Amino acid sequence: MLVRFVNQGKREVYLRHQKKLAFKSAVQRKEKRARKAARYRNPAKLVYEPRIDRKVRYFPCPKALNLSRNYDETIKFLMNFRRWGDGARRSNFYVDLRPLQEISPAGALLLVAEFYRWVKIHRKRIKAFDAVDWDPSVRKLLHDMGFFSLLSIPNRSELDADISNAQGNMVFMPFYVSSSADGSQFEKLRDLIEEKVGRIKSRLVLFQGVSEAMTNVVHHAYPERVRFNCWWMSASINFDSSTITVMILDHGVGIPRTLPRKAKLELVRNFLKVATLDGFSDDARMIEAAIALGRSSTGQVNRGHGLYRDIQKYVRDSSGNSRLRIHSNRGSYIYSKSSDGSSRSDLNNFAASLEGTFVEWKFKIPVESLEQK
Amino acid sequence: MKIYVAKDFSTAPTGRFYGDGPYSGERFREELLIPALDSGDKLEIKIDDTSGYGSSFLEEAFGGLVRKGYNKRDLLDRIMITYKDEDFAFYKELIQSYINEA
Repeated sequence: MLVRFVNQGKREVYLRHQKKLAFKSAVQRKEKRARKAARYRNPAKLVYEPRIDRKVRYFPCPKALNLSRNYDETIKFLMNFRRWGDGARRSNFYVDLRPLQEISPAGALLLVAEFYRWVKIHRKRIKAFDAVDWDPSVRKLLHDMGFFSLLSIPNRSELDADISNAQGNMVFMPFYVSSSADGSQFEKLRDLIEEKVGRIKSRLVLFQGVSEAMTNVVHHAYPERVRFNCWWMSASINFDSSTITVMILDHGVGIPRTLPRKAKLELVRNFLKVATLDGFSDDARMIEAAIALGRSSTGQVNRGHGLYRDIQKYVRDSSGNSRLRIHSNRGSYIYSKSSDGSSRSDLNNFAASLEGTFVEWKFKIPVESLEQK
Repeated sequence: MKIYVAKDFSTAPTGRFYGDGPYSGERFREELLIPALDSGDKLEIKIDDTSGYGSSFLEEAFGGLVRKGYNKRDLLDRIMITYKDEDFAFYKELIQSYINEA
């Protein structure tokens, strides 16, 4: 009898302890969700801005805008600005680009697209009071990409003189934007690249990839009733590493959300993602599936093969030293081919979503072109 | 009949449907291919001097002919794809495969 009472006591203690643990973890989960929600609601703090004598929303840029080396901070900064800019509330804000020391072509195109979006939605330019204080090399690269066409800049002539004196081994090309599949836009960009490095190797296949990426944006990226349905495109040449990058970006729903989920495992994973809200993501796997299996949101057998047939083809058919990188929502897929002809795919999932799709082809400039130049 | 894509249509054919862009596969099929096929026996299509072709464009233009009721074998007999630049050779195979697979 006594033994039974002792066991019952132990059991009660055990159950109380379990209940306490469950309560604690539930509280922790709730707090974590609240912190996330607070971040979403208040993307930027208010700071006093002496030039206009009032408080403004402050968006400090990270030191590097780079998807390879600083993905989380880059995306957090850009998405905070997008959420604020898309909101109905209107108030002054300050995007501080002074801390920016390093900008990759991808980072620059993402920044340009966010500012373009804001300018189109609000129908006014953003005043750049502090452009003289930006890092000169960053300023030159942004200027080359056409970023300044989105800004209203006091003392522009002084700044232009500074920019024309700046030197560097990296060249960014002007950005192109459209909401239709218009291959002539890429022809213009390609001609600018070829002016600097000569004829691009397999230029037909590159056009094929870019034109299909444009078509994908028009068909799949944006829901029908959306106020913004653009793609942005640009390129860069790095003379140090002898590489060219060609990039296309959209702010659509992303590849993972446009694909039909066929396998049970994917359905389960999708359910878990919704149920736990815990940053769990299978987006990279969905991008890979879109390429490998040729799935299309239309469900028609003659469609959905563009990612493999056209977009990946440029790298697949190359002799080596080239890379296709696709970021879509939280996932990234990198298909690379090395100089010995071997290829590999790398998948990655991130906590922060890019809220759109970014496609980049990176390849070597032919040596004979550089020697001629 | 002869169609020279770069001169008669565009150097940058892109997109599948009319709504996709100014030089889509559907437009090429409806405004050039079908009238040419309906008016003559053989059709020569010169495909070089463009910047390239996306698979959506080609599939809609040529695969779309089969979906519209044209006979596959008849199309393969009547359409002659020509080019001087050898880089365009694989587009000929692609076009034939889209007709066969449609």
